Amino acid sequence: MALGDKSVYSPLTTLKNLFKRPMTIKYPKEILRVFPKEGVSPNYRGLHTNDLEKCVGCAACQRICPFDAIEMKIIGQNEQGRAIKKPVVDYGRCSFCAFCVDVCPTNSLKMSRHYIYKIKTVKSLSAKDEVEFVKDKFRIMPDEKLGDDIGYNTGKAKKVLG
Amino acid sequence: MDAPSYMLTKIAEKDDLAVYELFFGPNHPGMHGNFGYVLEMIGTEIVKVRPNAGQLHRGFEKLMEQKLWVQNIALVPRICVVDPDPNEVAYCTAIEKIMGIEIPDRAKFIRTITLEMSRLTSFLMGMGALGAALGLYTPMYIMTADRDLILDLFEWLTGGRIYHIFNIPGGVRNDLPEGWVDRLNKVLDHLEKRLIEYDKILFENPIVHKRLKGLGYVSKEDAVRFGLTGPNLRASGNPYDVRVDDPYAAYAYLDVKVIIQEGGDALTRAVQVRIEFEETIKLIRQALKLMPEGEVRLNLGNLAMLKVPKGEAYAKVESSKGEFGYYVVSDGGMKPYRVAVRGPSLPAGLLLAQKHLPKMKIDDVAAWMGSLAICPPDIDK
Amino acid sequence: MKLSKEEIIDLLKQRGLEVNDLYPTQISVIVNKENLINHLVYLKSIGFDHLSFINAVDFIDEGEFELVYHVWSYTNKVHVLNKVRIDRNDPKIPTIVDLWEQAQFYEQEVHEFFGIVFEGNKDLSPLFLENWLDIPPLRKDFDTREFSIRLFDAKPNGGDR
Repeated sequence: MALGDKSVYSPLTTLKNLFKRPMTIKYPKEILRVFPKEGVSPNYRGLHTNDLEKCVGCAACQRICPFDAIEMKIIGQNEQGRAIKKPVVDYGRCSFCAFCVDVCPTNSLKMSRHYIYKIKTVKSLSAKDEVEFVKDKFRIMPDEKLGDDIGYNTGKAKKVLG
Repeated sequence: MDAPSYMLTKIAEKDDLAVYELFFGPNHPGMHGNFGYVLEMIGTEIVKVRPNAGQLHRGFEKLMEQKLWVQNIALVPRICVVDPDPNEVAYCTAIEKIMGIEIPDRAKFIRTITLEMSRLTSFLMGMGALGAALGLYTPMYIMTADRDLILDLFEWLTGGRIYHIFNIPGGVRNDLPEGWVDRLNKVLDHLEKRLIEYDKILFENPIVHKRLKGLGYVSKEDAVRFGLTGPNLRASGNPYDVRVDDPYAAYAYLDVKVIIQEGGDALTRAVQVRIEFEETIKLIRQALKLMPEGEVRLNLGNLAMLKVPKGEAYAKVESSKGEFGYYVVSDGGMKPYRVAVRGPSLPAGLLLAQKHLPKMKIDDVAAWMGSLAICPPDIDK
Repeated sequence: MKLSKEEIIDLLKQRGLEVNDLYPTQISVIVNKENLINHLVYLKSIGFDHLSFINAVDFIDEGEFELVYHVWSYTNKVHVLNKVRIDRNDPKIPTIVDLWEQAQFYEQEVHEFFGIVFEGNKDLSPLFLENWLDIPPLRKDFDTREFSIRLFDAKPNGGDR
């Protein structure tokens, strides 16, 4: 299109755009056309969930984690006096690569489609204490709280690692 | 190197004119990422330039020597944010070459499709950034919104929007989900329609023509001599493309059209990206048509325990900016002995800057960078 | 004139070089330090016009650095890895800036991260690191953990494991 050969109807284009849906998306509650729930795909790699009944505490997830984000926390003892360990994820380090999900031998560790996590900081804390406070709040032991909405998970057929 | 002063400082006088030193860095809205040039200027004209790399250096090459083969896959896409897949594919291809394995055909095609989709997102970002560098913000907004549609597809396929962590040695992590291909076709149709709009707002815009014509000219011989690759090389009239010359993934089965333009200036390079964008859409369609059924992954046992035999390989991938290469050396252990990365932006970002920027006006620096698709993360690594 | 990979291997073998056939489009050549410039000039004359990049590998057990000059030919479609071994205690090698101008920055990078001196290169100033006082960081004997503990007072394992 050369300069100056604009159509007489070009003002109408503007009018037409008035009735188009906006490209922007309302956060976080708008129902999207792409994926049914909150714009999150069925395969989404979000915050972890862990079936604590099924989890055997083998620490495979801890070993595979590329960013050293998982540590095993002792939560009690079984009848033989052995420590029961469950994974705790540090979301300050986690990169959501889902290798821990792939490697899990019992398929208990999964990823949910939840991605919003918020904490309230205490205003009276000093700057140094606040760092410690936030650090602590970012370490979460995944359980079944988010289990209503499972995202990335591996059936036996899909397993990549292990 | 001395740390640059972050203010405009007078450093000398030349023929009664003051020479100022200006740090054109991440603080400048026209700069692409964390990179900088220290410009010596008289008025608005640049007289001398000193590239200031290193602000984004994260030591990837050292880090990769300390992690397992498979753990590195979560790391490599971070080398280039806008075009992450070439990194994964190049790294995995290098490992597969050393191991001497051939991945299943379907996996090759899925890799190809994700690579081309990644190219689309990167081109959209690049064209948008070029528009923004010239003060045209509408193209950037529209293209960012269109880019999001492809990111949705990536999210559906891989689970992540930007860092897909999808390719693994031996194939890809999962097969295409049901309904994904239909959605991809719809998005491609949409993008094809949008191209007319891009042409109107960006490529036929008189401002773009006036600003970019003749800016940063690279001759046909210089493009090869300075090591330019990708669209920059082809916009100077050299018909070379890694996808054709040294095919990887499924490009050997596809008919990749190499488009060249004579011209070699910033406008030609911008139009080159626009033409290749259209070609990429056609290429995805072609790949979808030819895609065979079958496995998407070779069974290599537990990848966490993967040992790569002693050897070395260089694998290269045609990214949206040029040749992305990974040179991997293995000593037969659980971790790479050395991984060296070749980013496509270094010849343009460092060498051409010293040749082109002097005598240029400061207003044109951002547009010049946009036209050469300089992406600082792969200079710094 | 297009040369096939086999012809290139023959040509290089005639010049008394050790050539390894690695992959369908990739060969590696072992060159010695004195012969490097001659060899690269010859390669350039038979159509190897694209210098991909230069990188170094630290073979600490053998006491040697290996420099790899990646050269690709647009006409012959062959990638050649030109490997040069140099002594780790006296790492010096002639520069190739006169052949390919962008080698300037690759040489600066290798000098910065491995401490290899490129003789004849006028500007080997640091490109990426600022005020670096330690041994070059990509050498195998550079310990990142020890370095961060010493310099930044970091605690092992993040201090809280």
